[in-house]
Amino acid sequence: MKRIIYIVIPIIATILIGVLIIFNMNQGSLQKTSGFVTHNDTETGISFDYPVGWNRVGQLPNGFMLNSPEEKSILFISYSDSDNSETGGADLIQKVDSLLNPFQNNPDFQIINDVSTKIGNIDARDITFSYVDNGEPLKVRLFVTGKYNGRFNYFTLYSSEAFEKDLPDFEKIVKSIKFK
Amino acid sequence: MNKVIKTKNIVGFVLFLTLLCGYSFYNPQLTYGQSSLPPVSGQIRTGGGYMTTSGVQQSETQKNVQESTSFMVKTAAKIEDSGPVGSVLRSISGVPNPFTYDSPLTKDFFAKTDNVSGTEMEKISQIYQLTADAVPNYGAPGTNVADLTKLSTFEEVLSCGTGICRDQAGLLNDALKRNGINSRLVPGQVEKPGDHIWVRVKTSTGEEFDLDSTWYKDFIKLLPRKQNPVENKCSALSFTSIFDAIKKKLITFKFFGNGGYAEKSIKLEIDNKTNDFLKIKIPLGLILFNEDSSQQNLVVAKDGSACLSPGDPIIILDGYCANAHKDSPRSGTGLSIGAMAPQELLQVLKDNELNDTHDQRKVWNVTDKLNIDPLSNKIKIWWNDSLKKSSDILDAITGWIKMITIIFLIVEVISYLIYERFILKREKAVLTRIFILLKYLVGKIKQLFKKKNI
Repeated sequence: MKRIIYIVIPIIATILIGVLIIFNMNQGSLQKTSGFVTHNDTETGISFDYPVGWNRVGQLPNGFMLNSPEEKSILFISYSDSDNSETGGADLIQKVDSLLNPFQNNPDFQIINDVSTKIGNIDARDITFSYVDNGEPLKVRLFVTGKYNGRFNYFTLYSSEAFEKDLPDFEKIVKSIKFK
Repeated sequence: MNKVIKTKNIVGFVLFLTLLCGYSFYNPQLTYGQSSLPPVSGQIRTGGGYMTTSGVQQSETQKNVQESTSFMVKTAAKIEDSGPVGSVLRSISGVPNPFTYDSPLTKDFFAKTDNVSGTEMEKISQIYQLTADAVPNYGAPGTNVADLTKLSTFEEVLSCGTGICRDQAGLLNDALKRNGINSRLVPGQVEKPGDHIWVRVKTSTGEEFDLDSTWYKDFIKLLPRKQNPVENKCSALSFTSIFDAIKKKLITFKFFGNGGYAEKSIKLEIDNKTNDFLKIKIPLGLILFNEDSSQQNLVVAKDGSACLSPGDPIIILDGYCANAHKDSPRSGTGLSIGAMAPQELLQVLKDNELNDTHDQRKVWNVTDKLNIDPLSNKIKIWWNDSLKKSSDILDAITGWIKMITIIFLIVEVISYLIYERFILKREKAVLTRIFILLKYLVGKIKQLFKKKNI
C-alpha cells in the first residue's frame, strides 16, 4: 500500500504542476483588453480616462469620436469654440438650453435625466434624453462642463436604444475629468 | 483566398463626413465642369451622357449601389440632416451649419422650391429639377477638385452651382422636407469608386423610391437601393475576440510580418472554421513575438476588426516594432501571439493616433524601457497589467496563489526524494520508484498507441 502511495504522489504532483503551468501560461498570453487609458487634451487643457476597447475614429473640427467595441455607440469628445471669457459656469444653463432647443415641443423627444453637478469647482450638467429619429429610437447622454479656458467641454454618448449593451462606463469617464 | 468582407477598424473624420460622398459618376472625366447637356425628351441626362429610363435601371444594377447599415455611417449622415439630431451633433462637433437660410442665394432657392405646386409627385419632381439645375456641377465649391473634406454651406454650393453628393443630396432632402415630404438621406457604397449618399422618399401613399440628383440630372424615380447583404448580416453579429475564437476553435490563423517596421506591417492569414460569417477583433496592444529572434517583435497599433466569410481571408493590421536594437521584421516571417501590452505602451498606442513611420520613435521610446521580449514579458506584462488596475487585483491574487501552489508542489516532491535518499538512505528504492514510474508511463503510451492503431 505504502509503495503505491509513493508512486501515486509524484505522478499526481507532476500532473498538477503541468496543468497549472499550462493554465498560467494561457492566462498570461491571452489577456482581455480591459481598463482605461488617459487622454490629455492639449487644446482644452483637460484630461480624462476612456475605455481601452473604445477606438478613436478620427478628428472632428472640435474634438474626436470614439467608436464602441461593437461599433453600435459613439462617444463624441468635443468642445465649443473659445470665446476667451473667464473660467466659470455662469452661462452653462443657456448653453445646454440652446443645444436642446431644436427638440422643443417635439413629441418624440423625452428628457430621461437632468442633473446639475460639479467637476472640481467647474459646474456641469448631465442630461440623458431619448428621441425617435425617422423611426429609430435613439438615446443621447450629454455631459457638458461649464467654461474652462473659454470653452465648454462636451462628452456625448450617442447610441441606438437597440444596442444598449454596448455602452461605456460613463460615470467613470466623467469622474476622471480633470481641469489642469 | 477569399476576400476580406469588411475591415473598418479606423474611420477617420475624413471618412466620417466625406464618406457621405463618393466620386461623381462612372465617367471620371466629367467629374468637374459644367454638365451642359440640354434636356432631350424621353432621355435622362447623366454625368456620362444621355440614358433611357431602362438604361438608368440597368446602370443601377451594374453599379450595385448598396445602402449601408453601419451605425457609424448612419450617424455620419445625420450630422448633415436638418433635424434636431443633426443640429446637436453639429453644435457639439464644431461642424459648420450648412443651412444658410438667411443668405440671399439660399433664400432665393428655397423661395422657389417652397412654392412648387401640384400633386405630391409633381412637387417632388419639380423640387428635384430645381435642385439638379441649381447645382449641375460636381466638385467642392470654390475648388477645382472633388475635395471631400470640405464642408460647405448651401450658400457656397449655390453660389457656384458646384457640390459633391453630400451637398446635392442635402439640398434636395431639405427642400423636400420643407414641403412636408417624408424624405431622408441614405448613405451607402458603390462598388467603384466608393461611398455615396442620396435621398429616399416615402410618399403619403406608401410608395418608396430613391432620388440621386448627383448622378441623374433629370427627375427619375430609382428602385430603393438595397441594404448591403453582407454588412446587414455582419451588423447583426457581435464581435468575437481572437482569443475566444482560438479557445473555441472557431479559427486557425497565422501571423506574418508584412515587410517594414511600422503601419501595415502585420499580415494575418485566418481560416474561419465555422460555416457562417464570423466577426472578429484583434485588439490594439497585442504583442506578436517574431520567430526569428534577430528581428523585432511587433505590437498591434490599432484594433483590427473584420467580418470573415467562411474560408481563409487575409487581414492586414497596423503594427509597430517593439525592439529598436533589432532588425526590421521581414515580410513573411512568422509571428506568434504574445501577451497584451502593458499599460504604459497601451497609453502611447491609444493616445497618439499613430499614423506613419515617424511615429515609430514614440513606440520605441516606451518599448526600449519595457524590454518587449518573449521571456521577460510573460511575467512582467501580466504583473503590470494586473496590479495597476484595481478591478483586476483579484486576478493578481489568483495568479499569486497558482504560483505559490506550483512552488509548494515542486518543493514537496524534491523534499520527498531528499528524505528517501539522505534520511532513510534508500537510494535504490528512490531509483526503483522512478524506474517504475517511467515503465508505467511507457506502458500506458504503448497501450494508447495500440488502441488508436497508430
